[in-house]
Order: sequence, then structure tokens, then C-alpha cells
Amino acid sequence: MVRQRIGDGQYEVNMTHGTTNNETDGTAPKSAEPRDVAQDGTAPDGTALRDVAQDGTAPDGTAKLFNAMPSHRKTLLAILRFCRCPHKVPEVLALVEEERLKSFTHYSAADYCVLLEQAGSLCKVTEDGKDYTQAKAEPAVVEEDGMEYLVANEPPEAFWVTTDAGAAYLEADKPLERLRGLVASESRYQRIYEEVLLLCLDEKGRSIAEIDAALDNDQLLQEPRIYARHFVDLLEKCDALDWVDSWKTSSLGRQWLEEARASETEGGAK
Amino acid sequence: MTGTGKVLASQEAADKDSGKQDPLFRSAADDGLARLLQQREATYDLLSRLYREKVDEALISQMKSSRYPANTGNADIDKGYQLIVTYLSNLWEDSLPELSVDYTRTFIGYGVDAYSAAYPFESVHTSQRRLMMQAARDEVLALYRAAGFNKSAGWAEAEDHVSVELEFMARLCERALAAWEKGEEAQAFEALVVQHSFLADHLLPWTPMMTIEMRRFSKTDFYQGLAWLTDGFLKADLEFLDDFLGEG
Repeated sequence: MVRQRIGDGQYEVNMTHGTTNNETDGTAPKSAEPRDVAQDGTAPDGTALRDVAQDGTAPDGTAKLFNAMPSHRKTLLAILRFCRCPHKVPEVLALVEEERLKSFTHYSAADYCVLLEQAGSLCKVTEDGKDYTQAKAEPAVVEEDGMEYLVANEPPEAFWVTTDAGAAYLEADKPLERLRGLVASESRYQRIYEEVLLLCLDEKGRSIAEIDAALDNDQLLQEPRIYARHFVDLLEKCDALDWVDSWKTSSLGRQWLEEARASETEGGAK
Repeated sequence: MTGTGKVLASQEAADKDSGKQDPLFRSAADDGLARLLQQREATYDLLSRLYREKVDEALISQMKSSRYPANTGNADIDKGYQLIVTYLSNLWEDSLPELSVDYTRTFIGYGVDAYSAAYPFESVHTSQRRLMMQAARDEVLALYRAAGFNKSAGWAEAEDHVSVELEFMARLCERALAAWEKGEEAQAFEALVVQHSFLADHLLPWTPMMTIEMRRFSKTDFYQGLAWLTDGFLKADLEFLDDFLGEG
């Protein structure tokens, strides 16, 4: 869900990012029109998670999965990153369990892997790299008292590995560029983005109530009326903020903050 | 293998242990018919359990460590066991959720008509409009009661669910075995006669239609194998009862 600002400060909630509802009042800001990220390196307002498949950089299955599960983006990317080299299934599941604990999801670790496999981003292979579906274990036949019996065998060890399609999606995912694009599209609120990230630099992080209290009365957010959590939401989607029991600035968020400060310093020096 | 959580409650006293100390009674281990009755009971119990509800951790572990007849001479039974044991040989962390989904897809479905799943009720397959709780249900309920059984309080489904019908067969095997071990041949024979007519009049007329639909809807080798196993075993059991009772 993405909020679009429309003229008089009313909010229209769009079900899919990358689209606008211009027909409602014709006053949606130009920045809300979908643009091709690859062409100008910026992202439209609230469309930081644009489907990279639309600019030809990743096959449909992977992009469709990510578009359908935007709140699970970090977990899915973590799996693809981890499985660039083949890893045993239990190792991948252990990694995913760590990510799951942060996001209160009902999806199991195996669910994520299966979804990625169905999207063509991940595949299961044997130790020697062969397709696992061709390496199905057959039952063993044992004989006792002249009678033959079937007994379940142990399956060959399975490894998850990122496919070319999954790797392409990883390559196309440039979160810092998405963050830059987000702020550029809302340059008026750059100070607010900086303040949110600065607030959340604290080791203990900040609760949403603390961020609201610090920023909701800021003059810049009165007309049109926007609440601080709008910026928290967008920063999270750009991987600049992480939720780990509280909102904390990620390493990406810190990197962008340094860039922003350096840029301000240069601008000031000039 | 034996099932758990029986649906049918016998009104007879549980006197299976009575008489086991008497040296005159035949030992099941030495007696081919007794062994056969035990195997039939175990198979009916397994089938009943697999249809009754989704597979759980305990059952899948038990099944994985069990052994299954190979080369029985019945192609459907062999195919069924081959598929099931192949599935058991390839278990991983997602197998239980996968089986849970497949059970729902196969027997419950998500459509709005009477053709969206392999409904496991005799009434659905024997009534013109594929409805539940029709004449078939009333008939089997009467047969259960005539044999001294009634539905357990915890069972909320109709009495003509395939799981209950299979459990009825298992309990009759148990009764026949108990009678045989006590030397009560007439009672053992009577139980087998009841089994024969129930199999011929109630189970076999409709289960092949259910298993055809199972093969259409299920996606795992496990439930595909269950369909083949059910077909093969019920037909083979009728042949056995025809031969055995025919000789009697």
C-alpha cells in the first residue's frame, strides 16, 4: 500500500505501487507518476520498490514474487544473497529463522525457500550440483523370512543455490540508489528524512511514538499534514531503517546520512 | 502398524486379554489365518488413519520407520506402496506442510460445487445430487449399530466417511482374530461374513470413484499412492473373503 499526496492534503491509498490515481482529482503531484528507475536513477514518490522486471533487468517470476511480498523483501533478498554459493538446506533455514524473528511473519523458513524456488530464483541441487528433482531417493528392498519389504531410504543431501534469475534480481537491486531516488523525489522533505535517520542512530533505537513526538509538530509537516511514520515506512522499504525491537538506522541509512552531510558541507563551503 | 484415536466404540467389554493364558488357545504366531487377520487389521487401521485427518509428525516418523510389503502380486497395491515409500524416502522440512496442503486440496477442496475434491463420503458418490447424509449414511449407521458399534463422541463428520467405514472393517478383523484365538470359530466366521457383505455392498461400490478423483486432485506421491493402495487392497481383500468364505 502506498500513500499518495493529493493537492489538498487528502490521502489516496493505492493498492499497487508505481500507479497513480490521477483521474480522481487531476492534482496528484508529478512525482507520483511512475518513471523507469533505470532511465534516470530516481524513484517516484512512494515507488521505491519498483519492479525491476519492467526495465528488463530480471525475469518475471522473481519480480512478481517480490512485488507480491513487499514486506518480506529483506528476508527474500537475504536468502538469495546467502545462496549465491550452494548451502545445505538446514543452514539456509537457520539463516531464515533469524530473519523471521525480526519480522513477526507466519511464513516458515521452508515456505520462503519454496516460494523462491517456484519463482525460479532458487533451486535445490545435490552435492555435485545436479538438479535435485532428478536425484529422488528410491525405497530400499529388504528380505526377511523369504518375503520382500520396502523400507524408506534416506534422501541425498540437498543444497539451495541462487539461480541466474535470482542473481540478476540481486544485481538489479540497488537500495542506496532507491533511497537517493526517494529523497530526490521528495527533496522538500530531505531534512525530515535526515532527522528520522539521526534519531534512530541511537543504540537502543526509537519507538514510533518517540519519532512521532520528535517530528509531528515540525512546521514542514503541517501543510499538507503528514505524520512522521510516513517517512519511517518509506525509509524501511528502502532498507535505510531496520526494525529490531525498535527502529534503528541501518548501515545503508548511515551511508546515505554521511553522503547527505558531505553534500551539505560542500554546498555550505561554496 | 495400528491406527490411533478410534472412531467406533465397541459396546462389548474389552476382553482381548481374557484367555491368553490358556495353553489350549492357538498362538497367533503359529497360526497363518491369525497372522493374516492381524495384517488385514493393521492395513485397515492405517488406511482409516490416513483418510481421517492430516498426517502429523508422529505418524510420519512411524511410517518412515516401518516396512511395507513389496511384490504382493497385486499391481495396484505394489504401486501404492512404492509411491508412498518413495515419498517417505524424500522427506524434508517442508514435507508435513506439503502433505497438509495436499490433504486439504484432495479431500476438502476450495470450489463451490460438488466436483471440487475427492469427497470421502459414500453418500456423495451414491446419491444423485452428490449430497452428504443420504441413504448410504443411514444404512452404514444401522450396520454399525447392528454389529454393536456406535460413533464416538469426538467424531463430528458423517458416519459414511471412508475413514469410519475402513475402521469398521478393522474392528471386525480385530473381533474375528479375538474369536479365532479363543477357539470361537463361529463368531470369527460371522465377523468375516459381515466384512464380506460390507465390502461388497458399501465400500467397493464407491471407493473407486473417490480414488479416481484423488488421483486427479492430489499432487504428492503420498496421496497418489494412498489412492492406488486403497483400490488394490480392497479388491484383494474381497477376493480373499470370497475364497475363504466360499471354502467355509
